[in-house]
Amino acid sequence: MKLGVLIKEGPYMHQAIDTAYNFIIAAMEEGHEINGIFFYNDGVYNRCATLEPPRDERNIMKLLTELELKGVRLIVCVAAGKRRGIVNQTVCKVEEISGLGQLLELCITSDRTVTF
Amino acid sequence: MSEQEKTKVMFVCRTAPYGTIYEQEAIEAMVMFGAYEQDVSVSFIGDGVYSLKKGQDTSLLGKKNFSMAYPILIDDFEISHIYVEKESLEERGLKDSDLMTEVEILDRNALKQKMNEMKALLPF
Amino acid sequence: MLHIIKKSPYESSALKDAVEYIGQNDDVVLLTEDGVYAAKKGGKFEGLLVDLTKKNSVYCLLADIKARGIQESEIAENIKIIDYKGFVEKVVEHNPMTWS
Repeated sequence: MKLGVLIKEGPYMHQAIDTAYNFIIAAMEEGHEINGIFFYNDGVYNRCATLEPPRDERNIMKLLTELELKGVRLIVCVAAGKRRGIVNQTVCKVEEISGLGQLLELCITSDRTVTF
Repeated sequence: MSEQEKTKVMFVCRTAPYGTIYEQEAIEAMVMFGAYEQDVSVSFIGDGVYSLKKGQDTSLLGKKNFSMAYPILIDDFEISHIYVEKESLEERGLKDSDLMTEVEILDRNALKQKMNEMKALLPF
Repeated sequence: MLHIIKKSPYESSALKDAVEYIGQNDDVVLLTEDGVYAAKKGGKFEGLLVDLTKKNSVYCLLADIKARGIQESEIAENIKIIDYKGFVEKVVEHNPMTWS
């Protein structure tokens, strides 16, 4: 199945991204396709390139980049990002920044869209 | 595009405005989605119904009054339906005359049926 | 539908609101994150959930109960414990709606 993922919370105030990450890994192991991960609201902070958590803490930014290297599409909302300072200079990868139309596209092309 | 080819997506708004950014960014998404010729609807449940309260004035807050977008969502931004849950309005002492725009007021069972028809539900 | 509840019922209306939308037998409920506190035996929401299990399947996420020090034996009757793979399976079976 093609699964779309919407992340609405940042990496620390909420558990959302951790639940999402574990869900995504399990889905991939079960042979499902992650059609894309869209970061909205404070979710855009998960793709901030200057995050530097203590070494004994999970580094969600790196874990997400590893997913990207496995072919998962990461999309950071341009409007939500701009508002919060997640722009070309601060996002992990400039190509990840895109518009809200991509979220709708994800809803259209995924069999299921799950919000975290 | 024919109605059958359109994807049905619903925003499910359950948060009150101003206390958090969810409603504001939900509206921004609704406005953008309108441009893509899909079947996009919006529902207000729980504290979400406060977003439609008439007479919002944010001048003392120093923030934008984003509720101005609700009355033009259907005509200017091609949103298909705005649903408001009847029970949530009643619990909060609100009537349809308290709302800033014309909406379809549905009871929970009817709104649930609408939700079942959706391909994707986007909670805010 | 799959109703994903991720907030504590003591803090948020997520569970209460979701319950109003759980109508048909094929609707299922998954408690995740702080939502799992609802499933604790002896808590205020145990009765509500056990009633729900009479017509709908109710699940809670293993990782979240373990992290919070809740033992499987402390989970209310008829609530099933599933892991992330089980979570994926439920999403495949039902259209998800997240209540927070």
